[in-house]
Amino acid sequence: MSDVLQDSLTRTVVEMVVKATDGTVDAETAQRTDQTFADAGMTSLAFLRLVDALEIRFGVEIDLETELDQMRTVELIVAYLRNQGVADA
Amino acid sequence: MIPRPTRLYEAVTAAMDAAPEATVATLRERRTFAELRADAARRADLLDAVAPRGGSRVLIALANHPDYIATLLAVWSRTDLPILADPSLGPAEIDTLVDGCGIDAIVRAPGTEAAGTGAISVALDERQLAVATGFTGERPELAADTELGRLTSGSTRAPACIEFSAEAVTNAARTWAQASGLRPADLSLCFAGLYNGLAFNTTLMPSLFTGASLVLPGGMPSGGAIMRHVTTFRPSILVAFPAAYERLTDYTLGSLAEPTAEALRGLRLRLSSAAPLSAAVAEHVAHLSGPISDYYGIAETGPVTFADGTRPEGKGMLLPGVTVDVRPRPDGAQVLHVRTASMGTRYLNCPGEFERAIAEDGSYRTSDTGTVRDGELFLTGRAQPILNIGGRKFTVESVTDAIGAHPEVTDCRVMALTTPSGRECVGAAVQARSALEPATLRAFLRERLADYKVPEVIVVGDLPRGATGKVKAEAVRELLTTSFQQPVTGGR
Repeated sequence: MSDVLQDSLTRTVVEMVVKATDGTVDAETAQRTDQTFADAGMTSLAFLRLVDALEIRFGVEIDLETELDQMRTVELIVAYLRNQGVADA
Repeated sequence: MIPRPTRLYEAVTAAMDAAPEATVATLRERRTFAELRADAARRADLLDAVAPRGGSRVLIALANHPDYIATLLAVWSRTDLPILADPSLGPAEIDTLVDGCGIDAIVRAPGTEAAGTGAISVALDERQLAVATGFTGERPELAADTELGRLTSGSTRAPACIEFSAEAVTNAARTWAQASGLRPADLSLCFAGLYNGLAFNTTLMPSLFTGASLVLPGGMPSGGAIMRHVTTFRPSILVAFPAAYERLTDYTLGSLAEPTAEALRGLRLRLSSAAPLSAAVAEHVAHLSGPISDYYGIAETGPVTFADGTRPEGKGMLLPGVTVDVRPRPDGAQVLHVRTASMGTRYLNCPGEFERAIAEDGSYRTSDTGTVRDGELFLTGRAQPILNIGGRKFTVESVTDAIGAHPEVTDCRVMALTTPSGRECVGAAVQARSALEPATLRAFLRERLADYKVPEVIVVGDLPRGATGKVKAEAVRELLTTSFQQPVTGGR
């Protein structure tokens, strides 16, 4: 877990998850790779807040019709962002 | 099995044939009314594999897409009954509907975990799979003139299927089209699910009857997605729940590219309904684009008012032919009684429930309180608690029943919470016989409930009780709100 936390992009995304959910998904839970955001209790409304926050912060356009599966965990989001050319937070 | 009448199908297809070049689009695909009509015939034939023609009951649980319309037409053309459902319903809820309504086939997205996983299925296209349910039980009888089923769970524990006649559906559509000034030149961008009254009564059916074009995105309405669709299509009407409009508050006018700002200003109507619209959201959207038309409608009655958005304190003017008055219901509560020309007939799977909500003069007894002044409706509240998350209404009992079904649960309390940022969510305090992980309970609930009903906040432990053993509601609220990491500024 600490290795993950050393990654600033991951850390930023984790903070965004916590903020989007008003803390109902905490930092530790957000980083778990064995469960999706939905498993952790993130609602669709909180998820949309996260998606908009990601778009605004990183200047990406997230297509929820085709890229939804890439938004289900912090790990997947970080991989998606890196693939979009986002280097660091 | 009795074939359904085809008056609605005939009226809709006649209107579509009069406007063959009108379109239904997404960012990637586009269909004309003529293409949808032709494709409906193909789909009708495919459905033979999963349900016999002439009165089969077909649950359509799909996200928005142009081909949704082709499938709906296909079901109607077969003299079958379409029942429109939220695609996010849980497998157990769909199972309940199959048994309660006598559903023969389900059309859903491939790979969706849902009832009807029998061996017989047929792909209608890459997004739609029709599956035979194998239902062989006793089917509740339909009213003779029923041609459509739509679901509500606002007033019942499980989703109830409201039966509608062709007359009710066409009255709702034509009245709305007239009140909103819908013209063939209009283009509606609709983020609300077509199964919902907001989309069905104010957008889908009025557009099909008028020959007006539609954009039906299937994805979730992030603020970015709304902006991109508005910029690309330059619609005249935007249709979305308050939660979608709330997403626009992350964007300021100064942050928008000029084409986006111009397209937002080009909207002539921004329709909303179903959930309270916060003044802050309304003000922000008014600044970005224009006022939100937040009208009043009920699943059982259809649209009641039309609001042009210029009077945010009201819920709009009563539509032609609508009567609303304030009277006591049997328990004495003074509530709005509504009568429209677009009333449902009854609940297919909850015999007697609908009838109990109908007053002697045929009015529907709502749970809303308010007044009518000079033809304008003003709401003041509700006479009974109900959960309303992003415009999706459901009873507390629908959630507590599902939690109580877990073998380790001995008691629970469910309530609406307001997060520190002002968002509404569902919280559950649960008492169990043994250690029960919230994640375990959440997984259990996701099997049984639509996602939006699964509590976002779950706290497992002894429920706070007073000296008499009665659970203390405010202490439960306090317990649940401690889950938020920031100070809670509100509650309800």
